[in-house]
Amino acid sequence: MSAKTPCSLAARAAPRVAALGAALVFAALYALIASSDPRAALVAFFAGPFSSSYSFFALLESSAPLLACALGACIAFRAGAFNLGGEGQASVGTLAAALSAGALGGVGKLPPFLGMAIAMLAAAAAGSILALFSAIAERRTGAQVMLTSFLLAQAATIAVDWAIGGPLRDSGSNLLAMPAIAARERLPLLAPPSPLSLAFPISLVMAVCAVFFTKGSKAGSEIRLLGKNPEFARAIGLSPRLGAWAMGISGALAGMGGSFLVLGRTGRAMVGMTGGIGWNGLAVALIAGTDGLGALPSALFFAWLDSGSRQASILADLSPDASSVLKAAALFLITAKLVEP
Amino acid sequence: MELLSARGITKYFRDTLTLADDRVSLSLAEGETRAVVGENGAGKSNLARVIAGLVAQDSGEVLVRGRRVRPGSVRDAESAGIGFVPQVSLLAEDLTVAENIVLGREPRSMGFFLSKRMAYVETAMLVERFGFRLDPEARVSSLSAAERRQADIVRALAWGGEVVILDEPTSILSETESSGLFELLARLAKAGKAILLITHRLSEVLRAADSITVLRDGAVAADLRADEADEAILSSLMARRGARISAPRVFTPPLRPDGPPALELRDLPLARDARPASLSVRRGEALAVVALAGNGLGLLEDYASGMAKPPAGEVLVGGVRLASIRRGLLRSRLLGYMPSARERRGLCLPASMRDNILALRASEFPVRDWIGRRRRDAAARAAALPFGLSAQPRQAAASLSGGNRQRLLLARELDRPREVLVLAEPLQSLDLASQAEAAAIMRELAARGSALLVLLSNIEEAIGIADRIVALYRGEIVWEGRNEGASGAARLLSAMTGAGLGRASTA
Repeated sequence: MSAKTPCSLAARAAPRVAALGAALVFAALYALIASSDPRAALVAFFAGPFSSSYSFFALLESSAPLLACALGACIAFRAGAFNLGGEGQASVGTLAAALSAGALGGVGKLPPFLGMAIAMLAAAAAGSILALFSAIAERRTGAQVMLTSFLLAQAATIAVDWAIGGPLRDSGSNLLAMPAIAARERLPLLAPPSPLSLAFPISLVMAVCAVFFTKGSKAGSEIRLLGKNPEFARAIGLSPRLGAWAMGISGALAGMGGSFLVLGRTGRAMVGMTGGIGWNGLAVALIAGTDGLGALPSALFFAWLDSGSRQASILADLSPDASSVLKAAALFLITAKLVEP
Repeated sequence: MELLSARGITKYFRDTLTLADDRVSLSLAEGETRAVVGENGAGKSNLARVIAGLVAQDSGEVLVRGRRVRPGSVRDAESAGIGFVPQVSLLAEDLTVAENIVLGREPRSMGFFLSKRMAYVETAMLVERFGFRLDPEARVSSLSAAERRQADIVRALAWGGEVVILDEPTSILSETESSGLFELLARLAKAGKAILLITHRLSEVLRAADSITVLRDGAVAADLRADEADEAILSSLMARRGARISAPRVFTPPLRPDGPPALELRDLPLARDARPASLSVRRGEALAVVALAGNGLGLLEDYASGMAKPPAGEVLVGGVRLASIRRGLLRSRLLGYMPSARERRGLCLPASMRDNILALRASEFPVRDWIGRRRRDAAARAAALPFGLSAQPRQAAASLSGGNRQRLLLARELDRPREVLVLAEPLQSLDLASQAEAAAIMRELAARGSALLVLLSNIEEAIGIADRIVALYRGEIVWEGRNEGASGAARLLSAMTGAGLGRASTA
C-alpha cells in the first residue's frame, strides 16, 4: 500500500495519542514545578473532572461548542482554506441566537423545540455569512481567506461585544449581558443540576454528519480535491463556488458553537463569552486532522485540560492558565510533527 | 581510462512494490558519452538518481576513479566529481545565473559577506571555457528553456566537474534548442568530461552517444556501441511485453457529422501586438497546432480549454459560447482536456489513482469512499486497463512514473468520444510504442466524430495524428494546410521558426 492510503484507524490515531500523552507528561512536570503541593494538584488536575458526575457532565457540556468550532475549521482546512475567523463567527452566532431567542420569547405559542431550532439556525446563518464574506472576497479580488477571515472576525467580535454591553444590555442586571432567555427557548438540561444540556448530543450528531460529509459525500470528496490542488479542481470542472460552500459551512458550524454557549449553560449572551473557543477549535482541528474523525476525542481532551486546570486551581494552588500552556504543548507537538502524524 | 563505474545497482521500492533497478552495471571513460535508454518505468531515472546520490541503492556500488561513493549522499557524489542535471530544473527563479551556480557554497569575502563578484567570475570562467551562450548576470526567471538547461549544466559542472548526468534533458526543449544542447555536450566530452545521458528519444541517442546501455524492466538488456545500433535494434531491445494501450471498447454512437464546427476560436489574441488568431475544428477532424515554446501555444490551450477567459474574441463549442456552459457539464460530457502542465493541472498528486481517473465520472458514483469503495476500485481498474496503466486504485498519483501519469490522463480523457478534445502535448513522457498506440486512439476518436485540437511542439507527433496542421509563430498563424506527411515537415519547421517571414508581416 502506498504511503498516502489512510491505512488503519489505529495507525492514524497512534501519533496523536502520543502527542496528547506527552502533553499530559508536561502537565505533571508543570504541576511539580508550579505547585507547592504537587500531589494534590496532580490529583485535582487528572481526577478532578471525573470526581463527581457534576464535573464530568460540565466537561461534556463545555466540549460541545469547541467540537462545533473544530468541525468548522476541519471543513475549511479540507478545502484548502485557513479559516482563522472561527472566534468571530462564533461570536456573531451568540448574538444572533440571543436576539432571535429573545424575539421568539415574545411570540409565545411556538412548539417548544421550534424556537431553539430557529435560534440555532439564526446563529449558523450569521456565522456563515461572516465566513462567506471572506470566500467571496477571495474569488473577486484574490484577498486571502486567511487574512480577511481573521480581520473580519476581530472586527465582528468587537462589534458584538459593543452591542451586548451597550444598546442591547439588560439594564436590570449588573452583568455586561443581554436579558436572560426564556426557559422555553433554552436547550433543555439533561442531568440537572449539572450544566449538561442538549448541546452535547447535538454536537455529537454534528460530528457524525461532518465526518460523513467529508468522507462519504460527493461534495466532500470534491472539497478534498479542491483543497489538495485548486487548479486541478478547476481543470476537472468542479464548481467554482465549491470553496465558498466550504467556508459557508465552516462559518455555520462555528456560529452553531456560539449558539450552544447562549442557549445552553448560561442562557444569555454576555460580553466576551466566546472566550477563545474559535481559536481552541482551530487547535483541536489541527490535532484531529482534516476529515473530522478525530475531532471528538481531541475536543474532549481539550475540555478535560480546561476542566482539570480549573479544578486544580480551586483545590490546589495551580494557576488556571495551566490549561493554555498544556494545549499549546499538545498543539506544538502535533504541528511541529515531532511525533509523526 | 575508466572514470565512473556502477556495479550491480539494485533498488526496490517498498511503497509501490517495484524493483526499479535490478543489478545494473555500466562504466564510463573520460570523454565518453553514454546513453541510457529504455521505456517508461525501465529504471533509467532511478539509476541516474542513484549515481547522483539522490537515492540510496539497496545493493551495488558506484565508483569514481576507483573510489567508492557513499550511497545516498549527494555531497559525496559531488565531491567525487558527479554533477546531476534533473529533468525538471530546480534553479531559484529570483536569483541570477551566477547566484544559482554558487547557491549552497557561496564564495565569501572577509569570511561572511557573499561575494557576488567571485560568483560571477567563477561562472563566467565556466561559461567561457565550454562555450555556453549564457549571461551569468541574467535573472533565471528571464531565461528561455534552453538557457535554463545550460544553466543547469553549468551548475552540474561547477559542483561535480568530471561526470555530468542529464535526465531527459530535451523534454522541455524544442528541436533546434536540442541540437544546440548536443553541440554543447560534444564540446564537454572533447574536454574530457564523461556524460551520462538518460533519454527515451532514440534519434538523440544515435546522434550524441558513443555507447548505449539499454534497460528493460530494470535490468540491462544490452550494452552496445553507438555505431552497432540503429533505431529498429534499440526499440526491439527496449520493448517490454504486455502493458499495451488499446482503443477504448465502450463507444457511444457517432456524433452528428453536420452542424456548426464543434470547436471554433474567433479572434483570440495570443501575443502582444500579434494579429488575433481564428481556428475552427469540425467533427471528425484532428487539427494539430504546432509551435515552439513561447509562441502562444500556452494561451491557446488556456482559452480553448476554458481555463482562462480571452480578453477579446470568443470560444464556441458546438456554436455555444464556452464561458456560458456550466463547467461540470462541459468537462464531463462535452470537452476532454489533457493539459500540458500535467502535475499542476492534470492530476491531483496526493489523491489516489482512483480519484484521479474517475474525476470526470462523479455522477456515476454519487456516494464516495466508504460506501461503494470496492465498486469504485473496480471501475478505476477497468478504466486503467485498456491504456496499459498498471497501478493500484488506492496508490497515490504522486507515486506513478511519468509515463503512467500520462496514461492516467489518456484513460480519463480519451475513454469515450467527447464532442471536443483539447489535447496539449498528449504524448509527453510516453515511450515510442505507447506514443503510436495513443496516436491511433486519437485517430479512432476523430473517426468516431470527435473534434480534436492537438497542441504540440513536435512536428513528427503532429504528422502522426492530424488531418490538418496549423503553425504558430509569435502568436500568429503563419501556416495552415493539410497534413502532407513527412514531406511537409521541412516547410512546417521553417514556418514555426519564423523563417521567411518579413518584418512587414506583423504590421
